Amino acid sequence: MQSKVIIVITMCCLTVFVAGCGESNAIEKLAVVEAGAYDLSEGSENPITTTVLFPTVTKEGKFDTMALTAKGKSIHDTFLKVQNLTSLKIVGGQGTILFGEDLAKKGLINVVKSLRRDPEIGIRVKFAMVEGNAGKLLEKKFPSIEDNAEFIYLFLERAGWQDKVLFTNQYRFLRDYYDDGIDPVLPVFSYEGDTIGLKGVGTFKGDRYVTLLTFSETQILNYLIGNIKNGRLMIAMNDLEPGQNYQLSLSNINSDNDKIINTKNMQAEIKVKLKASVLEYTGTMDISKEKYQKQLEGQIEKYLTTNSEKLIAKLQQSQSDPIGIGKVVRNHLTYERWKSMNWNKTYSNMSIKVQVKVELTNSGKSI
Amino acid sequence: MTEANYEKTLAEFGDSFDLVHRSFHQDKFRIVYLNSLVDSQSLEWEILSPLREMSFNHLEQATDQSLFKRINDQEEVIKGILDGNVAMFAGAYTYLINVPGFEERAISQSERETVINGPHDSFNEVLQTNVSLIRRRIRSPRLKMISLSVGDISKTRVLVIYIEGTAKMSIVNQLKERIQAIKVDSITDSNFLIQKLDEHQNSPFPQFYTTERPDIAVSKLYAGKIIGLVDDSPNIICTPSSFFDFFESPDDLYQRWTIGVAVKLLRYLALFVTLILTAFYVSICTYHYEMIPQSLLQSLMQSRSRVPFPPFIEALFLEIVIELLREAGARLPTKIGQTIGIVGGIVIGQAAVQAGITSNILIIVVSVSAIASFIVPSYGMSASIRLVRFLFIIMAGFLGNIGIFFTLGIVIIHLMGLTNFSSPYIKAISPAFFKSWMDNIIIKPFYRNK
Amino acid sequence: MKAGDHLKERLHPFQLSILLYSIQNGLVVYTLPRVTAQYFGTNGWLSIIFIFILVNINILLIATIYKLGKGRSIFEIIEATIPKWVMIPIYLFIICVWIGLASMIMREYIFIMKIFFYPALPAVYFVIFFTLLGFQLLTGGIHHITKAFVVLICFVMPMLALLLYLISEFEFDRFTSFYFKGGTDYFEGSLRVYSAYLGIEVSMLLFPVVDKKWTKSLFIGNFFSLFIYLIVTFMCFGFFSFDQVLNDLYPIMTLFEYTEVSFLSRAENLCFCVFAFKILATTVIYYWGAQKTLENIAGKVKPGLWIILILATGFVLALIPGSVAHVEKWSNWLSNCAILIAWALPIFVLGVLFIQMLRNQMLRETDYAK
Repeated sequence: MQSKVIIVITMCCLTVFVAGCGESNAIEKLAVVEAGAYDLSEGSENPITTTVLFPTVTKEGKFDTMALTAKGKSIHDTFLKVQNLTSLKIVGGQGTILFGEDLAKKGLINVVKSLRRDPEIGIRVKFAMVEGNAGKLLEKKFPSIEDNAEFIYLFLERAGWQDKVLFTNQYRFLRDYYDDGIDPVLPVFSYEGDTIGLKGVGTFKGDRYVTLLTFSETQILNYLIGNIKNGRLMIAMNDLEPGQNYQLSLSNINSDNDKIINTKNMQAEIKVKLKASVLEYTGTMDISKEKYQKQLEGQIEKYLTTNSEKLIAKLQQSQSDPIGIGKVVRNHLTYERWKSMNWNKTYSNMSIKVQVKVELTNSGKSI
Repeated sequence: MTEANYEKTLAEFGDSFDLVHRSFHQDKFRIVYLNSLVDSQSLEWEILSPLREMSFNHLEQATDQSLFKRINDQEEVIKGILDGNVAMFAGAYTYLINVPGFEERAISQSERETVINGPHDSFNEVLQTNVSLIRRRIRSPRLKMISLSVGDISKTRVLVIYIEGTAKMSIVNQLKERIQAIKVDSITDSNFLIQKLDEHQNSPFPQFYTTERPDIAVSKLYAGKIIGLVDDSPNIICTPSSFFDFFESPDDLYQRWTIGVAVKLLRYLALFVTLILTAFYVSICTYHYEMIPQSLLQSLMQSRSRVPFPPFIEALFLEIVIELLREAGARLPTKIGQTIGIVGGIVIGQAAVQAGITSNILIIVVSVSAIASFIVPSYGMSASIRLVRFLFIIMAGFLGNIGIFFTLGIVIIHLMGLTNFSSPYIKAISPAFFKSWMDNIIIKPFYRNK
Repeated sequence: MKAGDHLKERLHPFQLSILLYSIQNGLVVYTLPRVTAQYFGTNGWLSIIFIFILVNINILLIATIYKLGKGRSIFEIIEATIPKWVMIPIYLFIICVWIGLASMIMREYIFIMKIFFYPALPAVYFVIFFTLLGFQLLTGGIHHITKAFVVLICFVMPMLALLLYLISEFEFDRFTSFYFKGGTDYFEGSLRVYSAYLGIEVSMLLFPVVDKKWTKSLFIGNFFSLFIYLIVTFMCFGFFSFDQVLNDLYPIMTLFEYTEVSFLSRAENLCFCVFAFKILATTVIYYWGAQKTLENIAGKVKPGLWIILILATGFVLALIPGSVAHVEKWSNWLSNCAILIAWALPIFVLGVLFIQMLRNQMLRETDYAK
């Protein structure tokens, strides 16, 4: 046995030296794409524009980023063209992928599928949309931001912790796309002015971008989708009743979400229970008193209910279902009925009610 | 067998520097001995003065003591003299009188196996002293010893020690037979002997546990193992030994068992760190960049950016430097050894990074794995692990992660095939259940020990 | 240790159950969620349980042979009634299927490996190392193989812990409330799922080296496989949406791709590399089975020669296929043959045993009559 092991070991070494090291991906020769942006370009010949942003290290050992753009017929066509622009080997990274608004409106699935096919690109890669041209966002230099790609990556990471709905990556997008009872959403960035900012959330119908939800709508959507732990909510009470004009900020929200479906006449009710603590309140009531606290709870409930129903109506109109009502409906029906049903049509005509129950657990450190 | 006689004995030794021959009472008594092996005080007391005073008149009575041994064979006489006996030729009879005495090193603290708690004595080069260290600890007549001799020229004494009733007699006999079957001119140390006894002589792994601490030797005896002592060697050998024995330190038992377990687990962690860490760096930097988290990627790229070599060459280079440093430090006097450490560790490391020959992350990786390799208590095992590590690095440079796992497979399959006196080398895992895992890999709490 | 010492030693049931788990064709697990979804439709993961019951019946057959045959090896049982030359074509068929299947499993693994991690390295390197490891194991004999895999599998199992990272994305809603809807071909699907349990039929050749109460380890080992398959597939169905599973070639790979530890992202690489040990187990045990059968055909030849012959054949076979589809076609075909062997051989041996028992009884009766 022992002599055989020696043979084994020597053969291993021999093969190594005979073969030499095969093609390798030594990291200093790679341009690991930190962010890629895909846009629809004018002209039918080269319909896709790709911009990639990757970090480089200068001779002095300092960091820099480089953004390259190319137009092509498909994702990988543009990849090859981008590759011709640099001496480094461009490889897909685990960072962020941005889509331009126009491309998203036309449908993303072909792009996403070809990204999925590439084993270099991880399934955790973050997805987001850009209002306008996505490539521009990567190329533009902002005074306060050193590395645009890193900024977006970290931004999404943080936002994903705070609002679950903003946590989007390739896996989530594909999962919701393939699921017949829910539609995907992507956060939307804008780059007007001096910095990159979050605009809200774009909801999809299938793989096509349909509506943009504002930031406050996004927050409400977050609570309609599922249970939230340690969430937060900003409420500006001025838009509900003219007499009341105050800001309210809730934190440490633990919510409980329950969707009740009546399959006979296709009615849905979303019950949301919130437990929250007050972080900021600019109104006049003394909320440390139980009576006023109850009153405030009622006001919040009313605010959330009306806004939620408004939001749902907007979603129904665009036939987009990011809340996942379809999932619940599907699980209440037989297979045959679900398959024979035109869900999109049923959805837009469905009556969906929202019932919110708010409980304030504390009102912060001071009175 | 040739009849022993005075002239033949003298002729055999020729003109040795330390040969002494004297005669008393008109050549009635003649003695021959080597004064380098004989204790002059007891010689004077036991032999010379009685001879001078003629108290050997009743020869039969006087020689009927354990000090005297009547011998007829010439060869035995020569052997006896070489063992530190005085040969006395009295008429037709020849006696060997055992009055040995020679210079020996004092019992001191073991330098190779140090402990924080527990006894501090260690074996020295004299068999007698070593036996006394063991005998002192086991006060039982069940402690048995078999005396053998190895080497055609050196005739080195080898003792096989076991506790009757605890040790397996089949292994004792096997060991005896195997030691007797050894054909060499000489052995100088027990480490030499075990390489002759090994069943898998080409394996890089040491298969016999050796120690120079009597407390370990005794605890092995109590555990039913058999130990072998070699004259002129402070290391005793122990069989059957398993892979996990090499990861034990007596300190594990002398501390609270929870701490002992934690330390032991740390050692197995160290084993893996030593084997795999550098190889993993090579494989990740060469093939699997996608496994590096986004946050780490930048610093890794930055540190690699100025290095002109592929990670494989870079790692191999640094590992060899570390081995050079270690070897240089081991052979030098302690005071110069420290300088080597400083020059190697700080000056070369710093300069290599600044010169752009290596990346600083690799320096960290290589030093951590070097430190981890020194955590393994057995020097022999630690050396083999360091050797095997190079195989891992080469394979990682060649095939990436799968190369590491292929090597792991090769090593484990090899280890599982090893045996030490017919008992498997990795004993804890192979034949039985978690219970014996617990006993062998981890330490049992003392209250559960009988 | 001398070879003679090995023969005396019997394998411990615990070791055996781990060996039997590790030799089951684990590579199928990487496609299992998709296969069950494709052939059985919604909640197809339940099919794994049904097939598990079928496999248990198969194992029961083997255990019965052992009981009735009183520990004789199946070759001894067969050749007590049927002359060897009649059986040789069947033996050769078995050998060919087993070697072929082993090589195809190995090659399929290497293909997936190459697609994901080493697009530029030639496959022959991987085949060389598999063959070397196989050689190291086969020359050591079944005891060495068992002991080695008990340890090697210890490296594979911890990968399951990575599933904990995925629990936050797990949702029961995605299972849907439909059972086996939208499936295509139940029979084909059953064959594919059954192939995940293949490998255990080689245990028919283990009779001479096992402990008396070993049959329980067959069931334990098999149950272990069920547990692993079930937990992984179940996770998949709750983690991905149904159509997503259908559209993913290797859903388990994607599953592990999603895990991220603070110092490592994309652990699927590690998982899949460690999985080489499981592939090695399946491959080696089939080679071992082929070796034992060959030794039975021509007992006088040195075992070392057979090992080299088998490994060389396996090596060449593994290099033949040129594409994943090619490999899949062959491994599907061969695993169907292996399923046939897994069922036909025990039934056949049982038949032979019954004939022997009947004959014995008749002999005894005639003895009484006298």
